[in-house]
Amino acid sequence: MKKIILCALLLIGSNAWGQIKKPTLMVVPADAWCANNGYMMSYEALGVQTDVPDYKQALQNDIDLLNVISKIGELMQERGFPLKDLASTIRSIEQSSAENEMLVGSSGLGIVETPYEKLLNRAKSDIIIELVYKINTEGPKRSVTYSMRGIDAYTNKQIAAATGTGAPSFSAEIPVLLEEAVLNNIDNFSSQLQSYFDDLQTNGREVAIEVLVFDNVEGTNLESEFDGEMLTDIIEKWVNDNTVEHRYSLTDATENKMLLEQVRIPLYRTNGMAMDTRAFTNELRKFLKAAPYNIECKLLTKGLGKAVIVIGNK
Amino acid sequence: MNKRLLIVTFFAFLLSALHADNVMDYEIVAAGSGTQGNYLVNVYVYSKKAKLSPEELKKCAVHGVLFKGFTSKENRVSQKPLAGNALTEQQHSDFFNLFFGDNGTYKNYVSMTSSAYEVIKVQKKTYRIGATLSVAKEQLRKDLEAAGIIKKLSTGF
Repeated sequence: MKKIILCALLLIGSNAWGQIKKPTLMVVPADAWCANNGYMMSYEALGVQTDVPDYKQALQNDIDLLNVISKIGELMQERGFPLKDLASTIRSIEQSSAENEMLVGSSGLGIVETPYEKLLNRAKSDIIIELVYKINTEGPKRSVTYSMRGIDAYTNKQIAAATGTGAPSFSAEIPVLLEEAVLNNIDNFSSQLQSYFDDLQTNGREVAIEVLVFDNVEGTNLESEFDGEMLTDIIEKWVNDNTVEHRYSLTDATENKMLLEQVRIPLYRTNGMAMDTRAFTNELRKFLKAAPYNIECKLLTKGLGKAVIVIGNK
Repeated sequence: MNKRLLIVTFFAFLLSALHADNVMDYEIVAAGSGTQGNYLVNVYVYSKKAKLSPEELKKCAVHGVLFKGFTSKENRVSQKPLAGNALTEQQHSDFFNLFFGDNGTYKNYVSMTSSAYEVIKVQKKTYRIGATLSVAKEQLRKDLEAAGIIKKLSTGF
């Protein structure tokens, strides 16, 4: 009896641990759509004028956009994949920032937030669904050209897409044409998304790892040698030994920066818990901290798919 | 000996002819945009008879949505087969033999939009019989996911 209970507990435990972290999806209007519809804002940084999409204005003013995003959300929810809502995320970030500024402890001191943490405080998701649509008119006929692109936010790879122009209509209203466009394209889009998830579950999650160097007193950088081997090579060997089928690609390697892309990390840790980029990169941090290297590192994560290790300090 | 051989050959021909009749020879194309959760399709079945039961057309419509997919000239959109490909039918033959059987549940997912047929004689003994049908693809997908025939998008997470 005890054995049965133990087995049952182990099974429940393995199920609870054995879940891969679910990627988050968010629909955002593409930059081209924002530019065409006048929803851009400009700011000047270091003398350079930069235009960025103003999602808040777009969502507050364009009802068609809201309808399309809601329809995609509804259809994805039916498939068991609810989307992160852009409007709510923007609202939540603003509210959270305002609350944090007002929060004061009993000592009278406020919350500590580094400039880097402030910068990270933006709407983000693991997969961004970029949306563009355009109303075409030819005499009395109207049609909709529609495009939906799923982009992995960390590898910047297009993982799914559905595009097309609907049948021209004399009478149908724009919202109806847009709804038709969404309904006609969602199945192909989600089938490509399914292929991406299948690949992810077979070959491991694809992530990116960046190694940077703090200006440190010891002068340790990626060209520092340990037993005649450069730190870059030591890190690369560790990544090679710990990735699924040794899959990774070393894109940049200089004395102060190393960028590893297409790093296929296993889905589970040795103890059965789900693996994520942070856990994987934390193993690298522990490896570098241990003898004979004894290097102190700072570990930062950027969502589910990218981690940064900064060598030389914490 | 010759008589036996003759009888065996005769039955072999008879069986292959019967089998050929069971194989569904049809085409499927889009018939515009269906309402949410439905595909609107035109199905054209090639038959030796000018009359065809609605069940045959319904069976072809569901089969086409599941294993063939279809294209739309108007929208220039092609819908992929819901069940992946024809291999899925072989892998789950037990399930689909019952599903497409005489009392099969395929009927629950399809309806004819009108009772009018389009019949064209294409060859001496071949007719092309067409009709427009609505296939409840969302319900079909959900039920096949529940039966473990096709994968859910959220499977594994």
